[in-house]
Amino acid sequence: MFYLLIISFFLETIGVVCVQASPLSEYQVKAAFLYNFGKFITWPETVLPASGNQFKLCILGNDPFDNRLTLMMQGKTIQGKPVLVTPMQEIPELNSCHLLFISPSEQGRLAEIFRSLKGSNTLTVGEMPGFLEKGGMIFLYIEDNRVQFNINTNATSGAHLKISSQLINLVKAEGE
Amino acid sequence: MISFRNFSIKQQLIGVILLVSGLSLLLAGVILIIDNHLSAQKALQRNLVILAQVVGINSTASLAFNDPDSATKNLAVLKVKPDIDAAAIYSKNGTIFAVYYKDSSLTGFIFPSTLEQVPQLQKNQSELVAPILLENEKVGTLAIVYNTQELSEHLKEHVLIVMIVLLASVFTAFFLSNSLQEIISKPIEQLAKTAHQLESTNKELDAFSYSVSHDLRAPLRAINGFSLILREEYEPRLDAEGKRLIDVIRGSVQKMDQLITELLAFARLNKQMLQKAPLDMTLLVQEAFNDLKSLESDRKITFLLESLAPSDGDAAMISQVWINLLSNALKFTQTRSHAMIEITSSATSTEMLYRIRDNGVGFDMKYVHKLFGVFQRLHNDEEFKGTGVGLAITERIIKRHGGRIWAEGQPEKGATFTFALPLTRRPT
Repeated sequence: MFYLLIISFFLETIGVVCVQASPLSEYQVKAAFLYNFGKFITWPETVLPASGNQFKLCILGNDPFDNRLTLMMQGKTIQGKPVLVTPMQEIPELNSCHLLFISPSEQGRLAEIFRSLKGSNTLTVGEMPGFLEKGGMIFLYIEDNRVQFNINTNATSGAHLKISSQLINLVKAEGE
Repeated sequence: MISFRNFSIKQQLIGVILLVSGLSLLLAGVILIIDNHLSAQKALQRNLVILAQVVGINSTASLAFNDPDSATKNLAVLKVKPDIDAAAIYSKNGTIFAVYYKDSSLTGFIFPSTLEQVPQLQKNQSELVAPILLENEKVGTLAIVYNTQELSEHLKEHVLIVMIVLLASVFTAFFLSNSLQEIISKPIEQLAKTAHQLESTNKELDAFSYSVSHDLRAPLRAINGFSLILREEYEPRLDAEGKRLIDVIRGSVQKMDQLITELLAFARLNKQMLQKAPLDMTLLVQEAFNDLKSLESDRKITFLLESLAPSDGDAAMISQVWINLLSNALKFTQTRSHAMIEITSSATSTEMLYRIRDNGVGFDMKYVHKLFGVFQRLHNDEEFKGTGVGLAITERIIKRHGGRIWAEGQPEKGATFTFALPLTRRPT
């Protein structure tokens, strides 16, 4: 079963705030989401043991965050671990990532990427059309001047990622 | 002002019982209400804090992902608690993020748009503000405005219940005490009645003896006057026996006059007010002795007077006591070639004792009970002159001072009179 969970995001104040009008740029907001996903999703202990280790946040392809992600994650922790922002190019190394943001530039390699990630515990986030249908987990997009996204819960549970019920509760049912 | 004493013993008893039971119940009720109210307040607050924590935790995702809709849904859960009038979540930077109003038209309360602004709370409303934490990081603030009206309504209810219980108890206490008080008040009332009767009988007796003594004087004066005329105008015509008989009459008249005078003094004692003041006893005794001694200057008398402890009393009356006791001592030592009178004082923790001892004829202790009675005499008139009123007056004075008097003696071995006056506590 495939759920399309649409979560609408509001920025800072009540009501709809245009992404363009916000003092925060679209990718600053998206970077904050990447960070917050880490707080509401739990990775299996095998990939994130209690001691040592780092939280590996990878960006595959052209960096839409303009290299600012490293600065933003400085001193922050996800799952209690310091965040290591890693730019990636090679597909075979992707399964070492905890969270993988797939740049729009990788549109053509999606099938290959997901095939190589099979059996890994990597959370994939992307913003290209058909991302969830091809096997992606969280799809970010803009609609009505709002950042929204869908979650493919089948894919996340296949990767043994536990999504917090709070995150699910945020989600409006399909068609709403 | 209505004095408590104006009521009967029965009413006083009932009053005291009602007052004590009513006050203790009121106290217990007030303590109970306060305790109840405080714990209800605490319970409400504890519940709200828990609720705030739950809502706060559930709203972390809404705040983290800036979703006011889901936050609003979370807040709407608060409607299960009718105490909560309104609630709001403020975002990290203090602007309003989501709100919940139970019925804003009813309460008239509106949250300000930023956390810095002070909310205009309505009557009976209180606000609880708690930070919303996500992994020890503050992501927002939860404000809950709750109504304490239910609490105050409960308070009113409890006050009402306590009042009803109090009233019922006081009524019960009234009826119970009304029927039970007789056990206590009946004998007291009986006693009070008897005391009252005794008092009025006593007063009547005093008035009677006073008027009798007074009325006896008029015929006595006539006898005295006419016997004097008889003695003076008819002297040439009377023989020796006649004159002797008239002298006997006149002697008896004088004695009777003295008797009446003393009786009047005795009767008057009860009417006189006591005017207590500190007394110099040594001085009083010395003066009394000097006066009496001057009448019998030819006698050989050794008078031993030590420095006496002072005491409180009516100067005139206590002076009379000393005159009576001293003249008594002088009288019953007149057969002694060398009279000896000794006066001493001592103190106990409650009273001051004054003692007068003589070496006179004394008395038999088996007649001691007759000593202080009116007209009671242990010696015949030929031997020692007297009316038999002096010691009665003395005892009456001492008793009116709250003291007591007693005597010890042996025939031919002298007598000792002791009187005790209560110590009056003086402010130091």
